[in-house]
Amino acid sequence: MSSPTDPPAARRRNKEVAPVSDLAARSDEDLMALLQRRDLQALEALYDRHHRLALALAYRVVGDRDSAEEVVQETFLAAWRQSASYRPDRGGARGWLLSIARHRAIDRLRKARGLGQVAELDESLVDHRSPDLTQLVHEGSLRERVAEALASLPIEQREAIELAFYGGLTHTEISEQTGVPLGTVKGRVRLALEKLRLTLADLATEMGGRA
Amino acid sequence: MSGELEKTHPEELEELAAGYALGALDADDLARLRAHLPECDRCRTLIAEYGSVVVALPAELDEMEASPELRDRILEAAGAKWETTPTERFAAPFARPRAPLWALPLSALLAVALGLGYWNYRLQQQLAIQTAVIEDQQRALAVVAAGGRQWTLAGTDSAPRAGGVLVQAAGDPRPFLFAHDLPDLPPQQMYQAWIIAAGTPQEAGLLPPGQDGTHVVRLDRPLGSADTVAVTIEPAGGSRSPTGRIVLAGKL
Repeated sequence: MSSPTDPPAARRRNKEVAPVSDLAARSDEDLMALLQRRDLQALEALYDRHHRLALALAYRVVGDRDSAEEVVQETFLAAWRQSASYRPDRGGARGWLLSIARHRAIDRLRKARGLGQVAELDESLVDHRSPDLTQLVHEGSLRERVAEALASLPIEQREAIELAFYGGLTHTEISEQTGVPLGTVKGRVRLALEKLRLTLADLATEMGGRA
Repeated sequence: MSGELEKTHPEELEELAAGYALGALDADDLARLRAHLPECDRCRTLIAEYGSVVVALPAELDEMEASPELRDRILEAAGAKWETTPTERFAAPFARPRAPLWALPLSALLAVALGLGYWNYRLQQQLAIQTAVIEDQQRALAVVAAGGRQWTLAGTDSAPRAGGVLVQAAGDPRPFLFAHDLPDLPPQQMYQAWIIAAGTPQEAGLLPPGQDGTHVVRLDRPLGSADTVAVTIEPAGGSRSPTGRIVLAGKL
């Protein structure tokens, strides 16, 4: 039985509302503007478009399907509640949603391991003129090139990146976990990110972006 | 503090920038870099470049299909928080400008269309946010006019001139929060409301950008058994639990 708050029921009651399929053709930017207008159908469309990758990311971090689904739920509800904080000039909606998912998943992982929260980054201090590859590059091409770029890294550099990105560990924590000196960890993270940057900058240039 | 990093070897700056983009900096390095960033274009650019790599990293993952119940749970929870807004009413502003294709050289046509389209889009985005805020203000005033329950919130030492009122309509568990004379915040910070029951705070919504220190928001969750409502300063996007200074608080 549908409750008064059941979205499909709400749609049926209001004949003005466009079918969700119409929104499926809209850009992420349009959907985010509608989300900021508290349009529930925009949330549905964004969910349908991005939840699979958000779930994959959350699962990779927390390693448990139920927890990963909870992270995805928190992510889209946070996006719904906090859509006013989305700034299109700082990147695309997909990157924004994935950042929320990663932050929430890592928060959960670190809590479970008895580690403190990692500090929030101050986005206003960053120059955001770099191209957002997730917007610029076709999803299939990006997936292929990112996987290739990661596979081409020396194993120890890849491990350092993965422990930071998916494990939510700081330089010092990576050093403690792997037994590698702190300076070496910092160097590996830098070298890995620098190689990835150069590889993906080539891709952005191919796609017409400013690298 | 920033002078300290200015003398640092470029490779170490790159290490800090890479760690920052990945969220892997330890607290002391983070503090050093934060103090340095406002004065260093190179580091800000580097972090943005590394950041665009970090954002792309999940692309390598195999997508996963969620259980069908997850979608329903999210939409039901969101639907319970806000009424659905008809899409059709808002669809027209997204129409892209049309121009007679035969009237202009292609390059000029493209430049005009791109420029106008982007300008129009940004204006509509700003308008959408402002319209939602105005609607909340009107709904909140209607609650006051109808004689809803009210509680007073007082400014703390962090915002001594600020004040606020919580108003709740009969039969509506989620109240509106009016706040006035709140100091302006830098773009990287927002005000966030909290409902506190027996010392346990729960996030209750971000205050949308205000005008002249006045903000109105409908709280995200019912008051329930809460005994206190407070507003804190948080990083843009909000926090899961309060981290910043309390600027407003009131007992229920």
